[in-house]
Amino acid sequence: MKLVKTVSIILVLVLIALPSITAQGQKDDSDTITLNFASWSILEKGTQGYFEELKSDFEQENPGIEIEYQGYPYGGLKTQALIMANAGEAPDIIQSARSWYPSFVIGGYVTDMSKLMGDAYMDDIFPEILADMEYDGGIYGIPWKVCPFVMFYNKELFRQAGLNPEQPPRTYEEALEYATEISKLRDSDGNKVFGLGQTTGAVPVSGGSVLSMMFSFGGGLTDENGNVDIDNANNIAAFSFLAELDEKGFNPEGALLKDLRNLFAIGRLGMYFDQMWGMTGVYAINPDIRPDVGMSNPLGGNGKAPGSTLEAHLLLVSEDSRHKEAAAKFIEFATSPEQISKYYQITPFLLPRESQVEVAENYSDNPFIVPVLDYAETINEVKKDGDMENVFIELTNTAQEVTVGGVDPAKAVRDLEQRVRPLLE
Amino acid sequence: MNVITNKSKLYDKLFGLALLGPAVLIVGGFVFLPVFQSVLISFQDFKLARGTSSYPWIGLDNYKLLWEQGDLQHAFWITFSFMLMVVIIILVFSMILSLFFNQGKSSDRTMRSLILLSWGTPTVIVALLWSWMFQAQYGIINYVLLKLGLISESISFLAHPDTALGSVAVAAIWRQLPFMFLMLLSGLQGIPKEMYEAARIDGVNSVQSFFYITLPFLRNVIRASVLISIITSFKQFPLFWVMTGGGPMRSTETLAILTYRNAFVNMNFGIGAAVATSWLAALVLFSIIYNRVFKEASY
Repeated sequence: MKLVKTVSIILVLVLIALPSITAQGQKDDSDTITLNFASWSILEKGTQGYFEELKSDFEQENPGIEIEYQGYPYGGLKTQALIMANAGEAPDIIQSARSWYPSFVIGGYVTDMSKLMGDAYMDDIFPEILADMEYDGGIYGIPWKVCPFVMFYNKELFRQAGLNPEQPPRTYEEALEYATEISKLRDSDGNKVFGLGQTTGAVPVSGGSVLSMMFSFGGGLTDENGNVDIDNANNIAAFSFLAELDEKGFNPEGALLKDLRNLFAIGRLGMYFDQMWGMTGVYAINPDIRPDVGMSNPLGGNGKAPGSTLEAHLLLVSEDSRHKEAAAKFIEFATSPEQISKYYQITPFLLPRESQVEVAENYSDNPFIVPVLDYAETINEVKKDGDMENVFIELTNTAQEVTVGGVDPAKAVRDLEQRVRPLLE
Repeated sequence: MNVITNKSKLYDKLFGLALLGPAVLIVGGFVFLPVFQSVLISFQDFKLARGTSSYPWIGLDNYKLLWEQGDLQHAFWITFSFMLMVVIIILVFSMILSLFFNQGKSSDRTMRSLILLSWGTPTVIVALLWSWMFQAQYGIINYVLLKLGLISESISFLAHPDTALGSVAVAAIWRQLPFMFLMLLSGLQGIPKEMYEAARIDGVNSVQSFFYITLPFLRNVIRASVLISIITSFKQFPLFWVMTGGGPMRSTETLAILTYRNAFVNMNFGIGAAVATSWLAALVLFSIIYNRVFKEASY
């Protein structure tokens, strides 16, 4: 009994003393800044190793600053980060897709990076990209990896169809001719091969791809003055093209990007539009396809110049972060030419800064990259609006209407304007 | 003596309340309070924005907006069609299966366990599984249908507005069927064998014994399990979100999808809560009517 009493007293004393011992330990580290970095890439197998290395490299070079990754799945990060910010627990740094950027900026959750990073850094970013980031005179995100919706094509299928694998189509009209030839092919199991893949699945990223196609036909959501202008001949031409693709069976119906990647990986899709990093998924399914993959800039259509939305992974700093300077230091480190050169070897993307292009190895002289080096010229600015994700979903609805729904493109575009106008105004 | 009895009665009551207290607090705090708060939010202009702590009271504006856009009516229609389709098919199939397995063969146990497998599979996994099976280009369903010569070209089941809702319903039926099957089977096993024997002596055939003995005895089980299935189908979210995301052309945009899209994509919790409250009210109303119409049987 006495023993039990003694043990109990010791236990209670230890429990009482524990918080103060822990607090003492923390006091010793009070000079250390911990930066919380909310990211989805940290959870992805392909990039996990790079992120761990990035953290250790940075901490070694910057004693007193620690990086703590908060990993969230891609689909849940935006919601998590916004809810945390509202609860006063905002992560210091947030990895953001371009389509979420307006939600963070317009809600006032993130800080103006142009003030934080300084002129020299900001001037190094390509002006077309800066223009797309600009909101109300400020730049609220640092482009980490960027690309337009490029066109990937399978050189082997080109050869089989009697097409020159070194001369991909430059316009949608040419692409339709190429797709006609490719669609005559069958794979080794006798399955159909699709000519040209354009995602129309009901997710925002597919909406971004549809908008890129509208840009390429000279259309879009607004006119030069920023007024909503959707019901026009160029957009009708874009959706008519999509309807024709579907009618001829060249495009897999209602496909998400992952469906197109799967089909491309197994040699059942000749050409398709995707973000550059989508190729990581293709290579994961079929690494042997690598030498047969060609890439080109977005296509022009209807006699218009090629266009695309800017697809990007951005780095944002929370307005409520207590360590903005340290966060800026980390972003500068992560986007330094040396770090970017490493990152770029793991997952393909384009470089948003001039200094990165100058230093990066195997970039400007890489035959895979060369056809899209002038990608910045194809970028069309997208209105920064809190409802943009809904607009993207509406674009996929219209794409589905003219394909699986059989709705006349002119009517579909007219209806689209009616639905989207209140969102954009 | 009387005083002691009253006192002890009071103590008993207090003791009972003390025992109930934690449960009441937990259920009240974690179930009723959030529901109450959600109803309140539905009357507010509640858009998530930094530094905003007060949200203006806007009365029925959120409901009005949803009604004017037609989103609510559309989502109700889709949800109701889905629920009806799933519940009717599940009930019929579960009844057939449970009657079959009630015959008590030795191999039944293995089969019963196999049928239960789908019930034990997480809904998200079920959604991914069926998405792959329905896939137009390399899904097994198209492959089998093509090989059997039943179709001449692949069908994009999840990409067509005519087939998408039905395809999600198939996945839901596969996932939910074992539950009702199990309930009906246990109900069947509770029916006294003597009833059937007496009926047989009286010259009753199997169809008559099904309608005059089996069904009346199963009434309470059917009543409860159908209500559970209705609620499960009404609030089905993962199957829709993973398999179609509400598309194509909003043909699978249920109340659950509409709530999620407004609240967690658009961060407009006011509209999201208005959808959820309408949905809750409809479900409560439906349950009341259902319980009134299908009164509990007593034997």
